[in-house]
Amino acid sequence: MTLLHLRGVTRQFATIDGPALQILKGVDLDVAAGDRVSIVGRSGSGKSTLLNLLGLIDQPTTGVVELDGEPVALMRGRRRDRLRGASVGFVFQQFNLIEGLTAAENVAVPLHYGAGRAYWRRAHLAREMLHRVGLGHRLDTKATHLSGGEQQRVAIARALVRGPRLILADEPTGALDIETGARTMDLLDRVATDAGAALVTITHDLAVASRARRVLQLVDGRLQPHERVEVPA
Amino acid sequence: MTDVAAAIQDAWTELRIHRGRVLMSLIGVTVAIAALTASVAVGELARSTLLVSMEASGGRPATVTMYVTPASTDAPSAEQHLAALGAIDDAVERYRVEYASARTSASLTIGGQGMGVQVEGVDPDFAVMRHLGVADGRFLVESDRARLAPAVVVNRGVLDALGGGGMDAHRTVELGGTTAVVVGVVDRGLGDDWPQAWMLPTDLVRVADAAGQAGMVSGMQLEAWVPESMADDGVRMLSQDIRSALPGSSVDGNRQDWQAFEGYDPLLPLQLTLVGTAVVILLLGALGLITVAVVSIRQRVRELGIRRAFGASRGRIFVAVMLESVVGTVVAGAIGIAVCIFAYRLPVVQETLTQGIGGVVLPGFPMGAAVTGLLVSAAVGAIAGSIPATIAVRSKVIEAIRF
Repeated sequence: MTLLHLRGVTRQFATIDGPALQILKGVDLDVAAGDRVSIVGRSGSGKSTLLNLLGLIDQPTTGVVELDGEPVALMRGRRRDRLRGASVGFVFQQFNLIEGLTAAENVAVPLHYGAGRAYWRRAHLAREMLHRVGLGHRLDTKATHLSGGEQQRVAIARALVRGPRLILADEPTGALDIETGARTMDLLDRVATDAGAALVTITHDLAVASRARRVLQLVDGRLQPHERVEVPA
Repeated sequence: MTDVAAAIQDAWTELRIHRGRVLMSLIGVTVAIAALTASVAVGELARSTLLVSMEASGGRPATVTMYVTPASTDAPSAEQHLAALGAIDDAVERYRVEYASARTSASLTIGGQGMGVQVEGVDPDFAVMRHLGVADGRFLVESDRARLAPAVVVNRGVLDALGGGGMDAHRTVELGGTTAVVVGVVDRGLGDDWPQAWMLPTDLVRVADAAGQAGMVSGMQLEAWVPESMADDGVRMLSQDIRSALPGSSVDGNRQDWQAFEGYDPLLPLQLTLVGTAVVILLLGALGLITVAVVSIRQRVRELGIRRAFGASRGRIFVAVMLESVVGTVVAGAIGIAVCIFAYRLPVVQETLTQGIGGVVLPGFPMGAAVTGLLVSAAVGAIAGSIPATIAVRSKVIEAIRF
């Protein structure tokens, strides 16, 4: 079943003193439930723009983005925000944990925007999630006191705490060494599989990209299969 | 319900995370609210002091005064004075005026000291009607009419002339040759050294008569504290009754309290000054807060972007940032108000505030000032919070995260 469906998606930005900047020129993409997709591309190729669209943060200039068959363009802002919180989990390159909060409090942040039951049980759910990513001993440690690998595991726990069906990972190993990065990707794969969530990874790292079933390359504003990466069977 | 609780939780978390910055920015608000509350409190105090002062000299609204002038052009006799007092008492009783006092005066000497003292003949209600507080002992009461020796209330000036001390001992004073019992002492603070005493009007007439000075007793007056709607009718009816009871006498009446003078509001300049001061303080406090809030929000776009990525709507971000500001300023305002109340209760401050205000007891901290301070702090928080909140919701999520 198709979770996310993009057809003919374009995105252009107005410039102050020149013609509009065309970043995406017709992206087609289907992501099924539990799918594994990697998207690679050079800097400035439009990966972040595509991430915004996949994460329901931005709207395409033209084309169709559908989540569960429902056109995102027809949704009001508040509904789109709620749907994003419930269906999409983000993992960022720089972890983006909130300084001053503990690991458990960071993981609980998405639950502030969830349904009543999840909000009132947020502390319990956050602790349970941290146990799952192997940080049961660091629950009350401030985010700034964690190592890079630990911070990314907290970020993964945060992305998964609301049980999203789509996880968007933006250069998830970009700030980690090779060994820690590999362990982090193993963890991300495992917890995404456990949760039955689709995982879309945007990365420069072909080793990371090759973990996915499909590797796509963003070239000239369009997605195409990447030929250099050996896709696992 | 959950959304409200979560929004408040968000605001509290934000306050906790940024407590250093919040603390620094709110120091200014605390000081501003403390200054504002203090200025409102002092204003209210000054207002009440001014009112008490005006009511002490002219009576409470509405106080009507009747002047009784005997028919004879000669100095009135004691009998004429007593007849006038009888007519006044009858009129007051007939119309069941709740607070009323006859009023007359005479200058008598304090025996032994040879010192002159101005003695006012008044009824017990006079103390309530003119805010005449007794520092020691009591004021005149109805049962004093039955005393064999007249009761007298003196001020600090008389007491000092008698050698000072308090009311613990049975004290008497020779007034124009008659021994009077001192039952109370009035202390109106600084500037109350001029010897003054109060006794019942009938007692004063008799004491003056015994001293051969009945003719020196001033003309009788009646002061009545009546509802404002009754002031005009009160003057007319009381004057008419007294006049008919004292054939040939002239009775004139009018209203003497400060509200009787239409178009004159003695409190207006004070109130305008206070409002002006409060507005300036408020603007300065709000300006400082807005500046810090706007600068800091630009450093917080990443955090707000993260919250947006995980499902926070623009509305939630707006409310959280604004609530953070409101919660902060209300807490700061409460601290400022607490500081004010604490300072207000310090003996040194109380002494300073009451210095030179005769007969005025410092009231409790004006709650109006505290409520004003709290409302203003919430309003400042809402206004100061709405600007950074608007900036926050306009930030683009991914750009904010990558900031």
